Amino acid sequence: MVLPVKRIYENAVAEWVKSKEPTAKEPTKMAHGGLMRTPTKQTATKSDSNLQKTFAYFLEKNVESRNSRKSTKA
Amino acid sequence: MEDDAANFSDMPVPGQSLTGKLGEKAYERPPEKPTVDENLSFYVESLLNPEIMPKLAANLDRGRTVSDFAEAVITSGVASGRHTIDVGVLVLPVVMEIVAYVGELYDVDYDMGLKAKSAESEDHFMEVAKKRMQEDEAADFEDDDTSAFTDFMPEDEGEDMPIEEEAPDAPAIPTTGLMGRGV
Repeated sequence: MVLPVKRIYENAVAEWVKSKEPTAKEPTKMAHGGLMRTPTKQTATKSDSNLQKTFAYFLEKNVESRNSRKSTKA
Repeated sequence: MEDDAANFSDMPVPGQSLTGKLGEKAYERPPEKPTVDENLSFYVESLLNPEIMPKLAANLDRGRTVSDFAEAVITSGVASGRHTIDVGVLVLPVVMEIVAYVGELYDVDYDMGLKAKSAESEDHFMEVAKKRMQEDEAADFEDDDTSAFTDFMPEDEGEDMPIEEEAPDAPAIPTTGLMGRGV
């Protein structure tokens, strides 16, 4: 193996898991009555989002079918 | 004899086949598809091609792992100058999932190839190599005894060394005559 495939794949899966976590939090109310702004993440580029969307699409499909296969086997 | 000498001069220089002009190889030129998006759509289209899918599934069924297959696809893409290695690394997880998806479509019990069979192969081979190098270096440092070098060095034989004698006083320069210096 020339490329560290395992690491690359695991990183991609970790990114996908992170992206599934809810990031937009409710703005916290400060003592003076104002709202504290939640820190915004760096905006992803278009190609990044396409890449992640495509990866997420196939990963979710595969996970679904793997799970259904397991349930039919059991 | 002369013919042999003439043939010898016509023979290729050892290593000649390993050299080439810069830009001769496909991967030395700018990539055909420089962006991630272009490569993404290329791999989705080519791997989900109805002619390719059965062959892919057959490969998985024969025991070829998804990671091996994806890596081969990506490295061939780099070698053929389709994309750079960086783009290949970005696209690799998607290619793996597409290959796994084909396996799912054909109901093949495929192997993702991510589980190591031995503790050593768990790590990437570069890390294994680095570890070994560090161990070797540490072992060399422990064995590093100066006597090993002094054995080969000649002993300092001070007695035989010629001692430079001081030069005798310079002859007196004549003060008289044409070239004579006035004191």
